[in-house]
Amino acid sequence: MATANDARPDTETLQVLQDTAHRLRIHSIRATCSSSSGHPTSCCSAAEIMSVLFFHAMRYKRTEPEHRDNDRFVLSKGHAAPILYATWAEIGDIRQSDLLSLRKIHCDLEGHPTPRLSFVDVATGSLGQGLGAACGMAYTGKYFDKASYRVFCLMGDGESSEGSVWEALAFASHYSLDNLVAIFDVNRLGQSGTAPLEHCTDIYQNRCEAFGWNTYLVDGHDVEALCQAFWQAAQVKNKPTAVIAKTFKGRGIPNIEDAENWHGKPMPKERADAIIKLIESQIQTNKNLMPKSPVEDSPQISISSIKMTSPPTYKGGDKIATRKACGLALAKLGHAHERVVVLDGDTKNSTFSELFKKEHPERFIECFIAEQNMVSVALGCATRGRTIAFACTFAAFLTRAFDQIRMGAISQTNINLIGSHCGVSIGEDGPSQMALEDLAMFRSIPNCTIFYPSDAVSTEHAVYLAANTKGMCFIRTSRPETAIIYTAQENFEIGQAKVVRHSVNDKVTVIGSGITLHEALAAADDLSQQGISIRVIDPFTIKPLDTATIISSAKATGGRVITVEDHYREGGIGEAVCAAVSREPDILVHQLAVTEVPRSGKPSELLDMFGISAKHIIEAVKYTLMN
Amino acid sequence: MIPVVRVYRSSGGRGVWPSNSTSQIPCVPGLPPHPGRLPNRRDSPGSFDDGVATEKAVELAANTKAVCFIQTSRPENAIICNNEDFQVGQAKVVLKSKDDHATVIGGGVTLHETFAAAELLKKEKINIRVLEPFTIKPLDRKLILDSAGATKGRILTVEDHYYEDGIGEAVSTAVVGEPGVAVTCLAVAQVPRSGKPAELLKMFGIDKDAIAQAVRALSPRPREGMECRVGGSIHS
Repeated sequence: MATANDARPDTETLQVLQDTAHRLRIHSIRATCSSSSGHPTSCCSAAEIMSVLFFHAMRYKRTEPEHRDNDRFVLSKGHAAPILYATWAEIGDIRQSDLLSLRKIHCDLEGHPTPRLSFVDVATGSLGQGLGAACGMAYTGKYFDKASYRVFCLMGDGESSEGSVWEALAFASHYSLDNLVAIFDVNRLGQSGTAPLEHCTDIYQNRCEAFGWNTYLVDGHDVEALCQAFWQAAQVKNKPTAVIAKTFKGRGIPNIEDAENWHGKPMPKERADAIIKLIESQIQTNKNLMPKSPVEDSPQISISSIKMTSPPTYKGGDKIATRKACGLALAKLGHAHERVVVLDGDTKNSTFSELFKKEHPERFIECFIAEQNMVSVALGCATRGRTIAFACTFAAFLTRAFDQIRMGAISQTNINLIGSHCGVSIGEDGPSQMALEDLAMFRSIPNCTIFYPSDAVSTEHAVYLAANTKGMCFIRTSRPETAIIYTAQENFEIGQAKVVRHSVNDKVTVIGSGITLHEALAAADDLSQQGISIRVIDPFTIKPLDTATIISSAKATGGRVITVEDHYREGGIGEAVCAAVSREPDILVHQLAVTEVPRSGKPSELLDMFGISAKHIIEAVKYTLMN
Repeated sequence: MIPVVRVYRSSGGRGVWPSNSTSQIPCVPGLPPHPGRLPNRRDSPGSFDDGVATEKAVELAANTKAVCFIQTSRPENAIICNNEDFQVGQAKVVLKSKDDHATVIGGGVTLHETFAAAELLKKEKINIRVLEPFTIKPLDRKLILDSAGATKGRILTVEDHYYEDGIGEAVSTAVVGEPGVAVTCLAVAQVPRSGKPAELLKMFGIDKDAIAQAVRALSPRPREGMECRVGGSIHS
């Protein structure tokens, strides 16, 4: 087998790289014919790029795709999955015959790449997100691992209309990610028509340079030019590199190359053989190139269970906002494990992630006001178990990253998201800053654990539990200061609610969280003076919900349940409880929630105005008892 | 057959899964009830189960103030409705008999699966009443309760969506506390995968066989400790 020479590959190597590109085209065409679906033309434009990347430029252990020292590759244009699979078949990691099972239910070679496959770090397919994840990997490589591995991200031109791509470009140059290479496969055509810039590659170049990147314009089908571009990129310091490759969609397929209306269409079966024969006729060698081994200099780390070495130090009588307790907990956690990293979107003095930054400045990543990118960067940081990542901002602003969060679940990520300033209780800033739908969003995310701690003690536990929990975690924190409810010795588990007020005479079960738990306790005090006892439950985790405790409490209180939440009605605690008791006879759930778009005002005024204050809980209890 | 629209692409495309698409426009309250606004849940103005209903939904959405969301499907479906009158907040009883064992509520592709399940169950002399919500928000609570009353309090929901924030939860919330009414839900319980549409409906427990099995398992009173979901996970 020929080996590759870095700077100026010899003629034989170039021929083998070109031949490999042709074979990748053929595999892509065959696979998509077999599945009768897929995107062969999007694969064909990227064939030389993939060949040069995987058989010349990148350094990795071909039998250990997940190795920590390997160069990383993100296929941001995820619909070109068949050519990624074809590449790994050429490497030898996949059987060539398996390629024909593309998109079949029993085969992990799915329509778009997912981490069911060992060579896929983040799921892609929803466009515009790969570069952000690549930034996270590159940031981790440069600043946390301080290792030699490089990160490559292949993007389409159509997806470059996504703003998240430009957030990532800005981030990468700001942090001088010179170990990052983005390749734009500018094949001119999008899904339903032309991409806006078509083949004006100079405009792509100008834009990338304006964003602080080093750029090269290349003929994307010229293996020699690609080799040189990647080699030069590796010499550039302090700037990431964009390789803007002019290509043709459907390259190598007569009458289909550069033609519109072929996106996402397999080759017609009656033409496929002839097309394949034609491409095959251009293959001159039967050789494969061996990928180069990586430099082995990334540290071996172990992310195992992080223990809380000392209990929370809060005392009864303290008043502290859960958002602040969260910041303090992160700083404490950062001492417990050197791989805890925290990201924030320019809200660190509101979310109190600045407390972590103060103690561990080298592990804090300021992502500025670009939440979609922040979530993607967190995803990237957490891949291959390199970090335990927490990303913080106002809960309301996480909603703009819902697609990144959704894709994170498909990516089987373990990132932790902290959303502060939930609900109307933030007060004067008004509804644009109030998260009233975040529980709904995160409840719908598969394998996501949702913590909604109501005091500083439980907040600290939530942070530690999140760090140790697989799957995404969301911690919802509040702005106002609240009292301490739990002692330092209290133990907390996921899916375990706390009954914080109970007696044998309880008439109604009231379930509240965060601010509304405190309102429920105030209501309980008031009601007890009127001779009415209520049971008060703090769910602690909204997902999973402690259904057993809720049902047994409901049964012990005559089937009367009231839920009260600083959230809209839909998708929140009330609906979660209704669903949990939907098969139980004789349990009535009365839901208190915010029912319309709120407004600015004092926190206490807003709780009252929107029906979730102690006063309203008392009224609801009395109403429930009367009926 | 004409194609109906529901954003559902099981075998590729841009990987658009509607499973929590409603939550994507979560809770936009204060909007008048209209097709497809879904705060936080369903984006559909309903499950447009056929082209007639879809066309009506588009017309309603065009005439509605505030945000509307119309969710459409990829597979082709048969036309069910004639030129009926569709209104916001008005569900349709699309199948009924004098002796219906349960009310089954489906939308989009799952409504069609429900019809197929009804055929299977008919052979076993089990009839079901089938409801099409048309608008998930606002939900036709009255018709759902009336149907439940006529079907021994048994409601089964089936949706091409995750469990959370979907039709099942909307219905559970709408009927909570009503004596003698219990809701069983079928939905997608985990991140899915590529495959043929019919294979995926089966794998994720929302096809005609899963529906038929769930109907058979329903009984008038839920027994203590009985598993609540058939083919899916318990709500967390």
